[in-house]
Amino acid sequence: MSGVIVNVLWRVFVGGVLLTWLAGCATNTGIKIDQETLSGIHPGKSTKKELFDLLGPPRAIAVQGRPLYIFQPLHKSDTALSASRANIDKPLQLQAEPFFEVFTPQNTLTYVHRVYFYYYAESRMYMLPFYEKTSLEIDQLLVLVNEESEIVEDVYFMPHPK
Amino acid sequence: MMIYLWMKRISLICCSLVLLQGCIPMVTKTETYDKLDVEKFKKIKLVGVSKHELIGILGLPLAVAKQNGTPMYIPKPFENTSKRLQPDVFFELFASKHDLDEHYVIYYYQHCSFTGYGLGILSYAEMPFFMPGKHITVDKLWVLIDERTQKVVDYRFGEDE
Repeated sequence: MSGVIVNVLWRVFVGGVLLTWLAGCATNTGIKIDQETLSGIHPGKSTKKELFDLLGPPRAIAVQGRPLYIFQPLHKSDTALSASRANIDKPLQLQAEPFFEVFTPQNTLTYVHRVYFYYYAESRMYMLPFYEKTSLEIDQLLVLVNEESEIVEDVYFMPHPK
Repeated sequence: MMIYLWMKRISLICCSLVLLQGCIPMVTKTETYDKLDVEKFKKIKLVGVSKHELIGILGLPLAVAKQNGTPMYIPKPFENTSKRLQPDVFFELFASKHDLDEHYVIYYYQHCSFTGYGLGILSYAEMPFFMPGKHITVDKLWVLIDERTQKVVDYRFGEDE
């Protein structure tokens, strides 16, 4: 009888030890953007202050004609793919124009408009002996704000394709 | 009796491996999911699709090229740095087939994938520190849009290795 118990305990022990090799981790960045959050933003009515109360400060603000600086929503290991690991904490420079594309032609954009960029990113990493894999899913929210009137004029939500 | 001796040995080896895994160099293969399925998108008829439908399918472009427009910043694959490009270089891709004027814009998409074999440390959540078998693929897509109709006129795929 005791032999059977020892045998079972031994198998559990060896299995448990081997399971520790199946490492993995998941990290997320930003505020979760769901339908409830979106229903709190009313284009044409909501103010910049109300937007900040709801979502906090944006991850980046796009200004037409100027470069946009953004910290990439990446897991450390993704970024470490790069040869320059020292650049992990440096923002990435992008063109601002793509952020305005979803708001044209239905909105007439002028120099007073900004796009506030929010995202919620989930990064996953799976590690096995001899193998590791990373993935990134991003929900993006673009909010068109008139800086003069401080009113939210339009909203565009892009959930990560499932 | 012999079986208990082997149990002890295997237990000892397993424990040692777990305790020392932070110091064991491992051969590691790494890849990312971020790959544009070129074959899939070749089947989709992008010509005639509206600008908003395109963004719905592919997401926001990485850069938008407009004639005499602002410079574009294209991120280098798996780096936190971008290279600055003038929009004109993208218009050259379509210049032979289309009579391009200021009503046309080009959406640029780029998807990178990385596969590598190298030495790494198992339990340390970092990439391998020595990677001779590094392979980066960059799939590129340029989409020409007529701003007057807001529709896709033409597109081109490209790949860099």
